[in-house]
Amino acid sequence: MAKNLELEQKQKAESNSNLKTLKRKKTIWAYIFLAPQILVFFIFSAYPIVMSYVYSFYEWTGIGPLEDFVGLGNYQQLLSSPRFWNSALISIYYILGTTVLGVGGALILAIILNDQKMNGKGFYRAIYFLPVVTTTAIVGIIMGNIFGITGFFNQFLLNFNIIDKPIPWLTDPVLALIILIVVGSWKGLGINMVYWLAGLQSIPNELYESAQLDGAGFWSTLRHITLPLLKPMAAVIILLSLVSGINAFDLVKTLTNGGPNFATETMDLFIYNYAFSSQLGGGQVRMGYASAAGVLLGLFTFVISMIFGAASFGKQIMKLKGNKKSKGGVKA
Amino acid sequence: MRKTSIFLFGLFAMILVLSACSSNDDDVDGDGGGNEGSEDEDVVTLSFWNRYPELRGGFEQLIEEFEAEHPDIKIERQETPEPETQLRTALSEGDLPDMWTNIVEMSELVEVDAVKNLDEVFTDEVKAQFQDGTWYENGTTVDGSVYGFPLASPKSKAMIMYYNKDVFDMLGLTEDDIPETWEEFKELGQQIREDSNGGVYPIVWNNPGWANEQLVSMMGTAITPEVPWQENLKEGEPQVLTEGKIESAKFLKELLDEDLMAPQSVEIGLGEAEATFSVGQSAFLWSGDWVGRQLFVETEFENWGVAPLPTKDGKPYYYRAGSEATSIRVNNDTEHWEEVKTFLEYSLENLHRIVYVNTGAGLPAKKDVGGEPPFEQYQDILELESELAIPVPKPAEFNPETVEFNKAYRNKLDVGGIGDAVVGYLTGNIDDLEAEVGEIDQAMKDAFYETLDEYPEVSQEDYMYPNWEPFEPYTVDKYDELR
Repeated sequence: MAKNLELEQKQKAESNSNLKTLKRKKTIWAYIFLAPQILVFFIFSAYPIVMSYVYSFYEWTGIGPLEDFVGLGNYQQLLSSPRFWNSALISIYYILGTTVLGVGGALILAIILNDQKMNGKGFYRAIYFLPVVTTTAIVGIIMGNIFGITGFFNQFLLNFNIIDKPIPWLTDPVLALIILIVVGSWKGLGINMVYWLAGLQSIPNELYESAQLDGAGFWSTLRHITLPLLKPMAAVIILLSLVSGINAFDLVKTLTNGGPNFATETMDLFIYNYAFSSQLGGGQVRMGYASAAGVLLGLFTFVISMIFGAASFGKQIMKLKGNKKSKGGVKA
Repeated sequence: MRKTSIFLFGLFAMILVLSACSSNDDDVDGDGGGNEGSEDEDVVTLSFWNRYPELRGGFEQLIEEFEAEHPDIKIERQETPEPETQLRTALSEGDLPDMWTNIVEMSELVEVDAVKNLDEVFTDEVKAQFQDGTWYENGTTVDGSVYGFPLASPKSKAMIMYYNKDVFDMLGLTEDDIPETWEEFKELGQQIREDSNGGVYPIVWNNPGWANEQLVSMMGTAITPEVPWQENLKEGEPQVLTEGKIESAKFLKELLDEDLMAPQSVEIGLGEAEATFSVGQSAFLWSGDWVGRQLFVETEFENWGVAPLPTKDGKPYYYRAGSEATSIRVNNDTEHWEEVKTFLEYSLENLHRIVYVNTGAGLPAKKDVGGEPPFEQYQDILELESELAIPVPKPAEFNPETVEFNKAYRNKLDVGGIGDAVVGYLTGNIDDLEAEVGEIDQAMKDAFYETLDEYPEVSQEDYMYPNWEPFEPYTVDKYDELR
């Protein structure tokens, strides 16, 4: 009996050791497969981010050694620059505009396209997703042609006598920003729609069936079942939309190039203009200054994400913590 | 599992070996670094970046003829749509081409030893073959040494007025009708609008900030001649708020508001403006000397003429000659200096004729180069440019320390000029242009005086030229008078 027990223990120990070896092997392989990605991350993401912090303390044109240390000089100049604050404000308008329009519009589309009885859902989903896979720069150029003074949209309105004079969609500061927001929202509509659809399809059908049996109509089902259950998904989608709104460079560059007179210059275009501007009579190339703006943009993104994350997930985290505590209490 | 692991490991090792082999092959071809290479052992390949679209055809021809004469040297030309970005990236990676047309300020490149000293090629005898005003500090030379192979004449790039002869013929206009004053321009403009039933605009313009600043500055010299660009060279301080610039901008706005300027002007680039002019939708086009070739080649439009820009009272205007030194620069670390030198020497004899005169792309920096311009208006452009591009005092020539000073002073500015403000005014984004330009002007002055305190080796006198008379060429000996 004791011998059997010993044998059993030995077998157990052996199997444990095998399991450990297997685990170790798996871990090693995991690291081997992760290594290229980690390497790429450090070279192409971490290193440039760290270096942009370093550059931001220098007056540097991007050529030659870093010699002219200016401390916080670039930051001070940025914070006292009306052009920088203007670009920050434009970015905020753009981010909020694309989030409200893009996320809201996508939700409506997703609800329509999630209808079980609807025909040709696949076709419509593909159509709405098409802008997502179209190069943003191309979208910018085409939209520039459509909304130009002699563009298609004005011609259309003129032909139908809706207007008697072309509207300067891209050269009026307010209209240009609106067009940017509308086009930016339209461009991201498809991906937001896919996120919403994923959320909608994760809601069990039984809930809708029960609601139907209880006599609930479309609006009450939407209000009391769909929207509450989509809340966690909504937080993620809104956060993604906010963050993607910060990177509007390619669309702004090709559609308005920040004009007229910096009225649509977003923060990322501001950074580009200082980092690579070579226009005659324009500014100088100032990589250090642009890096300082980049650092501030990074901080801005971080703060937005944290605020929104705290607002959206704070309650859930607190709830989870509360659950853990109460479980701990029961055990004790 | 073990077999799979061994297989994967083997595959990984094989890929590594293969990619290493392929790198070796590349090195044989690319001669290391990717800048130069040879198709076979006897041929040396030089890389060359060009930033000027109007010189593309000319360079293609030049390189073809050069390669035919020098079969052991091949030149790989690359067009650079984002020249500044591309060159700075190449510089930071130590991957510069062997040669490139000017991108990035010369002093900046010399400071980091990125460009080759070309004194060996440009002896005094050779230098004398170029137009007056070709050799100047931070343009083609640094500390008196040559670093740039001059391409375009310093007496070029002045804005002129192109007129569409098809439109003139259609509306029964003659060259005597070409307006010289703003008033005449508006009168003729109204006539053009009426006679064409609104089908033709008098002028099509374009919206880049730099073009607007160039235009108002040039037109403005007819009113405020002591400010050719952003400095008052009599007072010795920055000045962008001038009567000339403001009135010129207001004239543009009037044209736009009175439907005498094509409405798309405020949102299109120069290319689209040229196209609009070529198809007869506008009677006039304001642009530089290079546009003649663009009209002739790109839009295949030949029936046009040139005249000076209209000014407020028909008084003459001018452009500061040699403000942009168009040149070829050579990588200081080129592994094929002998081959580059061969190309430069060949270019000395042939480039200006082939690239500039034979294509009509502009006016060459070298004198008496011969060649046959492809269109008859070339000579007219040459004459106009010679008349309009006038050398003005250059602080960098008087005191080279002003090069660094200028960088430091301009780094303090939020906005580099008034071009965007002019565009903003034209589009209705700015109501009070004077106030807006006044702010830029004040910011420039503040930054200038603040920087003067930081640079004891530079003084306000370096920007003050009492012996300069606007419209009279400022020559080298005049600097000596002030020293």
